[in-house]
Amino acid sequence: MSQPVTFHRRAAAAAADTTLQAKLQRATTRLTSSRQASFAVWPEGDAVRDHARAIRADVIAHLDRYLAQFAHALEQRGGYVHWAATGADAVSIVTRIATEHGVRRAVKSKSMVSEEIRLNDGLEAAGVTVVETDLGEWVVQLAHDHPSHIIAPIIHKSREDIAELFKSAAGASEDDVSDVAHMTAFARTRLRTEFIDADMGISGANFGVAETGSICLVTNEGNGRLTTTVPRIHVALMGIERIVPNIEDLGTMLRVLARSATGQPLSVYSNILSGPRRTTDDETLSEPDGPDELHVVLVDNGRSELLGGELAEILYCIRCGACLNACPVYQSIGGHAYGSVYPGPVGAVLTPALQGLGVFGELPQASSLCGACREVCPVRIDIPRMLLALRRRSVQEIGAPAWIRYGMRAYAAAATRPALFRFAVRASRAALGLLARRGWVTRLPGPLSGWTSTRDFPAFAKRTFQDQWRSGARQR
Amino acid sequence: MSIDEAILRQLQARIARGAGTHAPHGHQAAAPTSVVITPPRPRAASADPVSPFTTAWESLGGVVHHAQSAADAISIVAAICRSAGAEQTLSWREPDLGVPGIVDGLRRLGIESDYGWLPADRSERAARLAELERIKVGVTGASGAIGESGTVVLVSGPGRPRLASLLPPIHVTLLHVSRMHASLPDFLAAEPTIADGGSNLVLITGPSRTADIEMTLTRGVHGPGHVHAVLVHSA
Repeated sequence: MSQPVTFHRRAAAAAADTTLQAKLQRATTRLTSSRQASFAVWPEGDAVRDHARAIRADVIAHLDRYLAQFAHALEQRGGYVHWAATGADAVSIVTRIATEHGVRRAVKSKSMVSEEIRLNDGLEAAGVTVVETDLGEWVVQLAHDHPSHIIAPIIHKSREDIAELFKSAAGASEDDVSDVAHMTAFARTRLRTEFIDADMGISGANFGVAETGSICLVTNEGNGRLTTTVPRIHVALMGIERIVPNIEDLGTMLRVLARSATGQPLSVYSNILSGPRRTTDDETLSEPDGPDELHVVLVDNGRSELLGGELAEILYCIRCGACLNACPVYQSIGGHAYGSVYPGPVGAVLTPALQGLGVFGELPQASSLCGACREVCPVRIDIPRMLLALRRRSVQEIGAPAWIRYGMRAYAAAATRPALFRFAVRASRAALGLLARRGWVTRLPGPLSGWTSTRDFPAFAKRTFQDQWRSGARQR
Repeated sequence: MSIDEAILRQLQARIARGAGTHAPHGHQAAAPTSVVITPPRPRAASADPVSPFTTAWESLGGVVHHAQSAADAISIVAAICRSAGAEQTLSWREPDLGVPGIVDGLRRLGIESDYGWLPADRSERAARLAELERIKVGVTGASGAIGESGTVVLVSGPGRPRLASLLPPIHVTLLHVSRMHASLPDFLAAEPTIADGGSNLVLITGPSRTADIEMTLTRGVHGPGHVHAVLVHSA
């Protein structure tokens, strides 16, 4: 797995990869401008975002109550509720449901939580074949790769990459991959047979509605609807924080989610599920389709630890991906460099918050703190504040890197001895004076060259502040 | 099992440790009671949601038809079926389509309706799905529509299969103009119990689409690539 030191290596490699850069630029520019355009024509957008934030704040502040209400309402509708304290618990709950029902094949619609808990590995180990059905996630699965964006998982792949993959791993013909429309049609046909053969559908959940016990899945492709309608059993994984109080509040969240994610006024399918298929002994009074069983697995996996703390606000997140597209760091390195399931600014907070600073201690550093993430966040999460909190925590828990510790100690030694300080300033100024051309140094020696490899360093002023102060004092 | 009491108590204790502490960004509620949240309303709701709906639906790639009578609606649906070479529809039952006589009317034109019943048995279900998969046109009746976004609202129920709007490549939804609303909040305020109607409430905004490959928009990836809204103006 990822080591702290390798984040910088991965980031450097990604930043130097010019094809990746072109792909990242195309995707983030497109998504950012779509979002902007959709808010520009929505006069009440800012007020709706404030409202959405208030809803999320209320839910997180009373999560125990809303979860109890949600579970009760869902059970009233004939659904089953499971609590998973850890990722491993969640995997074993889903595996147990599959085993008990003799499930051999499962179809899956996109779920970040399932990536977080590595569900597919667990199910495969139990002998259940899992097929991802979101086009991007299917590509990721065929390629044994990882998604690089929360809502656009394969922005790091080109059409040619995918055409090759479809031919080598899915048996596509040359005709099947002649253009994007053909490739999409190929995926539709192939995955239809998977839906029909599947015994179980596995999905995430964008929201759970406390009042009605409903879950809501948002997709553009429709695979989320097929996954939750065609197989006899539907298992949904939901992070415990994804609750909204009622249907009206759900409407508010759906509006800000779609515009923030892709610039659509609403996503193509906002699919709201209230319990399993409703049947009676009389066929004419029964629903003709839908799953006979619905299970909702509430996944904690570290989330409840954040409640009441300085990082609780990250639980407001609705996973739109807008902060990724807006972030200059994400734009330069893409999702994989983060080495975590959740990339970008939200991932730089969420991943160390859930999994600790041990392995992911570098991630909060992957930000210039420019605030673009906070600016675009549909629920105005103050990500920079939490990045700083995590940096502070990292120094307290792990300590600062040696070069900072010794550097600061050396600085303190010089700064508290006036004669030594004056000497050091003069020496540095003289040295920089030798290197400077027209007031700027373009190349610093040794370890300092890191600075000048990407920008110039200003030469010191002709006279030090102390000199100017002294002469100014004399004039008065 | 519901959620264990001990778990809920632990959540409450964790939330409480943040209460009363200084919260610079107001992200921790000071009071233990829910705040009253009033949703903002659209500033100037259009008096006529039909034209914004038409603009939005068409810009997504959907087609809008107008029917002044039941007979009109039947011939529009029949024409869509004929141009697709379809002699069968995956359909909701007549009372839920809101067009009296549609089933007989279509049958006289050589188009049969399948109501999409799925058996629970594993192999029967797969065989039935393979059969339904061959139907090219799905016909549904919308419980409402939203002008701002170009959205139709469907609720599943007895005689109202979910798959009619999902499995076939063409989806035709019959929509009474009286059920149109300007925005999603307007619709939900008018129909607060809409989610109780069936196990599945779905808001459909245009044809199924993806942009996963190189941000290139493609329609009809899993759901219907062609969507028709037939606006019924008669009572």
